[in-house]
Amino acid sequence: MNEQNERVYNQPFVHQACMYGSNKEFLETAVPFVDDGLSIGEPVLVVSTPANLELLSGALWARAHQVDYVDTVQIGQRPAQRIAALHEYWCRHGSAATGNRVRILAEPVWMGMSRRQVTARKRLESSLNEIFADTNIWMICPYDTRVVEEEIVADAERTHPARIVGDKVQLCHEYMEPAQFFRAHDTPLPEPPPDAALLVFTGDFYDLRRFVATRAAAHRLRGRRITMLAAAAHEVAIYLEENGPDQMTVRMWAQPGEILCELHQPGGIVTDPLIGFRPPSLPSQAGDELWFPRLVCDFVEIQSTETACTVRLSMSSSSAQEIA
Amino acid sequence: VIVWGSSIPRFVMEHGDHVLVSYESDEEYREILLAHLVTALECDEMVRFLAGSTTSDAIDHLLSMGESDLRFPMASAQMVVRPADDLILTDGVFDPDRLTRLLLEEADVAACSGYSGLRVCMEVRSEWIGLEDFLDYERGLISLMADSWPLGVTLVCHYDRREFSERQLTELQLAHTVVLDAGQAGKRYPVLGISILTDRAGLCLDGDIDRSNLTELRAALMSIQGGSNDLHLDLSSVHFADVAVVGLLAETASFMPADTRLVLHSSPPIVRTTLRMYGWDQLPALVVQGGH
Repeated sequence: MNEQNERVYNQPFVHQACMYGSNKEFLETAVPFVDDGLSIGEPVLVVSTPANLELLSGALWARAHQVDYVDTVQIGQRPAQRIAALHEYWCRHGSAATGNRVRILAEPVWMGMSRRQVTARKRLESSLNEIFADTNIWMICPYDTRVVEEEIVADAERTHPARIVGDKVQLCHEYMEPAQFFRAHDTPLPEPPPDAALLVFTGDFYDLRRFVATRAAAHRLRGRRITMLAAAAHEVAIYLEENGPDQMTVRMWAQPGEILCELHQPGGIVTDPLIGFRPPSLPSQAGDELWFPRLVCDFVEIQSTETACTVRLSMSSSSAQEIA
Repeated sequence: VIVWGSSIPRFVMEHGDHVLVSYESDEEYREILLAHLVTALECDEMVRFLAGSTTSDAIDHLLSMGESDLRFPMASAQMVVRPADDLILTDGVFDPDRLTRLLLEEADVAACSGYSGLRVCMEVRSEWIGLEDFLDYERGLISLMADSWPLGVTLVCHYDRREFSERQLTELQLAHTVVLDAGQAGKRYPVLGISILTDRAGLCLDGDIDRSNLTELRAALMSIQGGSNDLHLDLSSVHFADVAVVGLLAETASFMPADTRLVLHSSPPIVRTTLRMYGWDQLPALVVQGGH
């Protein structure tokens, strides 16, 4: 049995895409999935657009109130925030203690996303195959082919081991393992501007945090987000320092709408593209420190070559509260 | 039992403090101004610089030097530079009530504008030292700062070492609750201070805690473990703790003897955020009480 068959048939985690082109097609998959789960006492979470939440709850009739509903934009725009939210739902409702399978219908929003966000979101879909491999979640991810770009729908066949049409399961023949999918979507990071502020890291983490905080303040970041960016850079520096023998450099600059902080470690290699995406444990495992930047930064981009590793953190330059 | 902290100087300026900071070069002064500014921006405080011999233009220049222009908080009046002479002298005569009134007024402005605190930085001129009652006035500010305010206020007096004698500075230091040189003030929270709580089993921590002092913290926690009571940690003076440190607190909680708990008091936002992000706030033996 190949790796994909293993994922489809023998793993506790089931991850299927559902391409639908009409409300009817959406309901043909969603209703039996939810209904069957409820009838055998399994917890069901539906994360979707407000329109689909209304459509589905209307079709479920009396059972509608047994389902947990969340508007998809409310469970975090950053990939790690979505992982955290879904993982927490599983921990509360379907942990190993009860043995309950948990059903999640999770429809991401793709409309209006930047290219960087689209890539990050696709990688999230791919990473779930490994991150949730040991959970007994059954997740169906609907893709509305009326509005989602073709190229995004095509990649869903690479990030889901199987697809579901109505209630029939089909293998996705183009499926790629997460590491392979991440590599296929690697694009070189553009060079920092020549006038970016530079710190050569001497091993003093306090100096590093102060450098980041001062530059973040100079670029008009406010309040706790200064501390959060400095703390995120600190955690990346700790991780990189253990992965490379040479002197690390930190660069900071701003571009419209965001502040960037890049840590560059010559000789450092990051072999695990999912680093920092796995919900942390206690005692902590190597890489758990990167859960922090993954949660607080809008983007964490990692570029690892044979000679160096670069981690670029990005934070939007103002938050909704600040412009209110 | 290991005891730390009793002889460690305090580098942390807190609300309610009357601080003396001395410097001996323009570069040191710039570093101090930057440290004040960054702290104020991070903590969302309003800043008032009362300039002595340094003019507003010179401060403006200091903040625009280097690769980062830090004058922008002046545009929003989060920071305002004013000549100290106008605020402390009336017709050339020292007027102790004027600075007090200014502090009260600015504290009201800061509170009404939604800032979380007020930081008043006063550059003291050597001419004032000769003024009658100035030293007494500086002493009196300790009790004024200890009064209740509409929000947290920190008063920092800047002394240029080139303008004051050692004897004068020694006398003046006694009129302040915290005394720092430029290096200490620029490096805002450089050390971990650990002291034993006297009223219950536990520790009071102070400063920045990260992997550089994690071993000390682990040893201190181990030295107080093993009793049948809850353990208490006062974190009110902790400015930063990284994931490894918060993880150590979570691990400590998970190894507490049955029916005992680790209680964290006044955790700073970074600790509460990390506990929540890592799910450690759900540990049954970990209790988080009060915030900053």
